[in-house]
Amino acid sequence: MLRRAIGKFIRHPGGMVGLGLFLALVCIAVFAPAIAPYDPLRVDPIAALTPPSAEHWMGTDTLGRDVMSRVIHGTRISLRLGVISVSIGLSLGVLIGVLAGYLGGRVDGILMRFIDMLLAFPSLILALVAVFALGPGLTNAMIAVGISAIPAFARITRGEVLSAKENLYVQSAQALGGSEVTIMVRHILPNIIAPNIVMGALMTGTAILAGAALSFLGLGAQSPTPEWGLMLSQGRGFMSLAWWLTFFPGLGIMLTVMAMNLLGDGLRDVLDPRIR
Amino acid sequence: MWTYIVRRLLIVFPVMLGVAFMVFSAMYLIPGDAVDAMLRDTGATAEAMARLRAQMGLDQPFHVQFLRFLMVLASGDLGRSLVTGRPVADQIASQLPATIELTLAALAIAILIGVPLGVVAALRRGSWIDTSSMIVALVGVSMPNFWLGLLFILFFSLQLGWFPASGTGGLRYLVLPAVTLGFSGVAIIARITRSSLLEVINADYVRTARSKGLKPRTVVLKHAMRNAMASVMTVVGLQFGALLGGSVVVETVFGRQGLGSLTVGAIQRSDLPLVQATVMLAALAFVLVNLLVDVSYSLLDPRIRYA
Repeated sequence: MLRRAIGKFIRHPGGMVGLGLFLALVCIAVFAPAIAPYDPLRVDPIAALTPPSAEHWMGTDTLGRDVMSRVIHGTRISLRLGVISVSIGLSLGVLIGVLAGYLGGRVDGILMRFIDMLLAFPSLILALVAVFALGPGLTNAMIAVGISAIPAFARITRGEVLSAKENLYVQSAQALGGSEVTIMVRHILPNIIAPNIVMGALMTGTAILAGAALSFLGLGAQSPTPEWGLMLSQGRGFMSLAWWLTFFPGLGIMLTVMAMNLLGDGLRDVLDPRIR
Repeated sequence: MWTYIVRRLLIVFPVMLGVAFMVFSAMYLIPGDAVDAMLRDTGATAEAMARLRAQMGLDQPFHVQFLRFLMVLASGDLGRSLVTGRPVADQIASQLPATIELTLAALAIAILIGVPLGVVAALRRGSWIDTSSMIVALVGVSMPNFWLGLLFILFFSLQLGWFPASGTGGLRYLVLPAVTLGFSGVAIIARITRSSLLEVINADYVRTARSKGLKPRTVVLKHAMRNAMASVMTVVGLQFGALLGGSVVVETVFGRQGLGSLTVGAIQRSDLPLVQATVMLAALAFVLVNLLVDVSYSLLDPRIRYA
């Protein structure tokens, strides 16, 4: 089954482009210090606002820092934000979804009312509330974005658990006296992996966008961190003088989010055609 | 029909109670309270602060404070801004029209461009129109709206001088922010329209309609679209939430007045009552729009009313 899925994925052009882009970005993130031509924090006032040139491919910012080095290092921050936020949303969401779906009854009722409350907020507004409560900063932005991702994972997991519970093998395991934990881990969990992988990939893109938006608003990463959203907000005052300050960090966000969307769409077509 | 609407409307109350609880708890968890925020830099003594705290009821336990918060909300009093001292309700009322104008314009753009784009893509499946509209859709969902807004300003304001780069005012001020905010909506609505139309386009009743000799236009618009619209409406409802969130960013990019920039400013200045009110208002608007979507389903599909 896994081999067939891999075979199908290889023939999915969008998915493969997404995977290629994603792997390239991961390499850039991992080897950022080796690839970046300069130290992303090195200030050089004499070279301030140099347009793109052979020396500085993406130009320099108001403090003379090399934009390309900052964009390269920014890959690290955004991917880390995406992965950490989604891990938070995924682990809490799956936990809530499994408990609600498997135990049902009052537990289900209470947990789902909690999810409904979270869903009542537009997700960026929920992240804003969380960041307000936690205080600005990159780590808190990650947590805030992670919280806003919980409902998506919880709902999809609960749905899968509810339908998995109806399977004959789960009912026979119950009849044979298998413990709740064993049944959950061995018989229910495998069913919810595929849809959560797909959701995880798609939500990583969304999380990166939300994280960059928080930083753009001044509530996420703080100066001098080379974070893309923050770089955009710092460059916007100099747009008529230095277009490169806003162009390249934005391109970085778009390519990263696009990679995750393509990858997610590809995985969905292969693993779980039902979710859209 | 009316019982259905009333029943759905009644669910709004517990949900908003939950929202109030979450917002209140979040604010309660913040280290430092309103008194700290108000008197932080005034050099007030600890006794003076304690007195004010007792006066404002901030020394009471959580549940007492929450109940009081609800009572005050129920009376329609949103309190006063800690920064400007003006009533929160006045501030919101003065900013609300600009945000409504922006989100409605963006929603209109998203629907008026997104739906036809999706229909054409579905009907010409595999053609260059399909491929290119889906590429546009991919770019639309991947592009940060604050970047798109900055690119628009760079090109249409600074280079061509067609539209003002920032500010609030007539139609000229609305065009760039509305297109910026609506762009991702165009992408998402086009995608969902295409896929839900493709799902029904080969259904039996569509084939029957076609074989009856109806015009292809009638078949698509009257028969196929009606069923495809349910998923499109869901996405429009969710999209409204995205627009509310997005307006926060877009208003900041274009220096526009509105609830979004009011919220961001309130968060930056730790203006508790103002944050509470704007956030709850956003949640209320989102909940009501989704209710509207649910009701519109039942208009599109009578089976739902009896479920």
